[in-house]
Amino acid sequence: MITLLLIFLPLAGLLAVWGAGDRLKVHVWVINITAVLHCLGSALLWIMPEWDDGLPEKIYSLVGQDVLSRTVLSVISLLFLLSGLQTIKYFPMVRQKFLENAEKFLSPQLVAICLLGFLSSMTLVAASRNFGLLWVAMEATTLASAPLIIFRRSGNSLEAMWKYILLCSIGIGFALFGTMLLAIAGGNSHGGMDMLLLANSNIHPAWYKAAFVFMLAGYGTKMGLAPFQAWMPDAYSEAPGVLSVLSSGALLACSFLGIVRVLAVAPAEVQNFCNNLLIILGIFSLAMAAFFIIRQQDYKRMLAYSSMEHMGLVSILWALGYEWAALLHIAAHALLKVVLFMAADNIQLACGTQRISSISGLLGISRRNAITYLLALLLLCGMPPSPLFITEMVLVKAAGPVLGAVVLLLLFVVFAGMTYHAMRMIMGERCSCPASALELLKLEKLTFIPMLVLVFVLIAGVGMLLGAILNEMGTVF
Amino acid sequence: MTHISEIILAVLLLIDLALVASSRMLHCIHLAALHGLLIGLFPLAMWDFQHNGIPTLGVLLVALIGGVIKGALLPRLLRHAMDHAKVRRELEPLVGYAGSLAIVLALSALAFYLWIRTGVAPAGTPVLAAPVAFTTMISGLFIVMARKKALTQVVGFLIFENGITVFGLGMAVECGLLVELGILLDVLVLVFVMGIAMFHISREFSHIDANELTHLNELDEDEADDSGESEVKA
Repeated sequence: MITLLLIFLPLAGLLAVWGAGDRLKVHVWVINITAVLHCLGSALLWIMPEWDDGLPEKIYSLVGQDVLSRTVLSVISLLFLLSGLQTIKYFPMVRQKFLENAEKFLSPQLVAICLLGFLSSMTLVAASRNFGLLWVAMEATTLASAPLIIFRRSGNSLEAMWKYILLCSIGIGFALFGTMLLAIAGGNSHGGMDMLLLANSNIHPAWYKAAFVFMLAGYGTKMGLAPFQAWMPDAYSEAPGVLSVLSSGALLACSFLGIVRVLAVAPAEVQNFCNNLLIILGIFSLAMAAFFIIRQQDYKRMLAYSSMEHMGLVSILWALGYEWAALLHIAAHALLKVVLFMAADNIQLACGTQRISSISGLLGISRRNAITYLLALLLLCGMPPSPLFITEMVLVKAAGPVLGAVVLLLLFVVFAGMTYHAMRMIMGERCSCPASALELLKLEKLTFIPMLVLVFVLIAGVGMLLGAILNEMGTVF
Repeated sequence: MTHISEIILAVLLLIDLALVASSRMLHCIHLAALHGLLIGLFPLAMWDFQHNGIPTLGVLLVALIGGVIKGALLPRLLRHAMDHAKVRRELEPLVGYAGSLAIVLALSALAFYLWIRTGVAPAGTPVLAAPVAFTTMISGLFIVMARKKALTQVVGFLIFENGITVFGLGMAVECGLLVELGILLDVLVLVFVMGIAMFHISREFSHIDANELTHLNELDEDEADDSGESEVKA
């Protein structure tokens, strides 16, 4: 019951926004009320799982909840709530700025509609128990998020949107083909796309292998695994931070869920093949991200490549069998990306550019934003007490000497690249900035939510680290 | 009723080849419309009238909605976009038309050969279904890659998607009514969004050559900086 409500709640909000016309305040409020309710709903799913029962069996073969979907759903809700809260101050400010500069931008109503549609489709992805429905929902996320990329209507953003929609749709098309192959692998009986039925049936290994390859390529495109990631840096650098937050944290988690769902029905004899494929793609993503981060010119693109790196790490973690660590990694990465993209948005508003080389002395321009950005970046690189430190440690420990060394080396390259670029931006002579003193003051206030999240991640990280240390000590003594 | 489905599959194959070799946009759109219409009819052709009697409401609904969306609605949208963007022909394709035809034919032959050699077709499905589906997917992807205009790329994507549908229907994969309708709705909205994007691209750049959308590129950015800096120095 709750699941269905969570899927339809954003759609109701969407209708409300549609009916409200061009009133920005109403849009922002509808987004936030929906976000709060959605968050409460996903919390209820943890506390009162039995409230989700009570619907006909037919619906449960399509949507339902398990630990995985609840985790992903919580990440989605939380991120949506955080970005919704940020829009209260951010949207009016950006709008004013655009109006002053006579720049073209997407109407706020359309932005709100797309955001709510995005939320609904992501919820459906997390909850779906049918591979066909999963595909439909996944494609719907692409469609709902694509218009948001042309928030600032420029040639570049149009190009980014075109790449996003074409590449993702073709990738997802492969996933549909894979879904059909999977249905054939499952014996093609009625309900051949039902996840629970498939998990209990005899699956033909050869057909399954083909299905897995296509679905990995398809959902991997959406997740940003190399070599299918070409759309990602463009889309993230052109989209407004609110969307980047949602796609980088929530959408990638959803796409990963797609891959995990396919893995869950793998017959025993091909499990190794699938895991090896995941590890290879993971390492490849990591290497590619490290290469592009080192020579990066744009601080938002840098964040996109870092998402690619972390998705690589998540795939490796999952393939090695550390599922809890993979989920923890996804959640921590998502929260840190909230901080980073929001801070990056503020920096962009303050300095009027996305180029790393044209920014310097950020500490003197926007102190809080600079500090938040740097701290979150360090935590993202796995600096203790970040939760990512724990998961990366687990990974390196589990991966064995060769793979572990490669991962460590690549992580070091990423760390060096990111801190180098961040330091170049933050230190040095204060560069000229187009924002007025009043605007800068407002931007300082916009750091409230990112800082809150940062503190939360820090506390969680310290707690986990202490727990891990105490646990180790317990085994020693 | 296997015969009708085999005939439809053969016609689909011919349309694929014609599409790969045609340069006029309107012609492409018409061919894609015919392609879509046949895909819409395909579930009916696959229905076993002798054993099962009249098709169920679900099958009829999917056939009807599929035919209308793919055969009429999408081509209309494309036509609309074409009129707005004022393009008639695909000039200077990345791969010539004769070359394209040769490549797609070769790949198609390969698909037929491999499918017959492996011989894993589930019983009771048309022999042609899988190879034709593969050929359709390949020609769709080929059009996306080898043509420059955004509009032709959308046509290519539609053909690619049709290929997947042929595979699903031909292999008798049961998706369920909700999923089938969901897929159709997704494709409809997708082409709609792509059409809007195309409209904006043609207004912003006064062309719809997708291969000239190369501003967001790591290397180009570097080169742009270098030239910019050297100008400043000069």
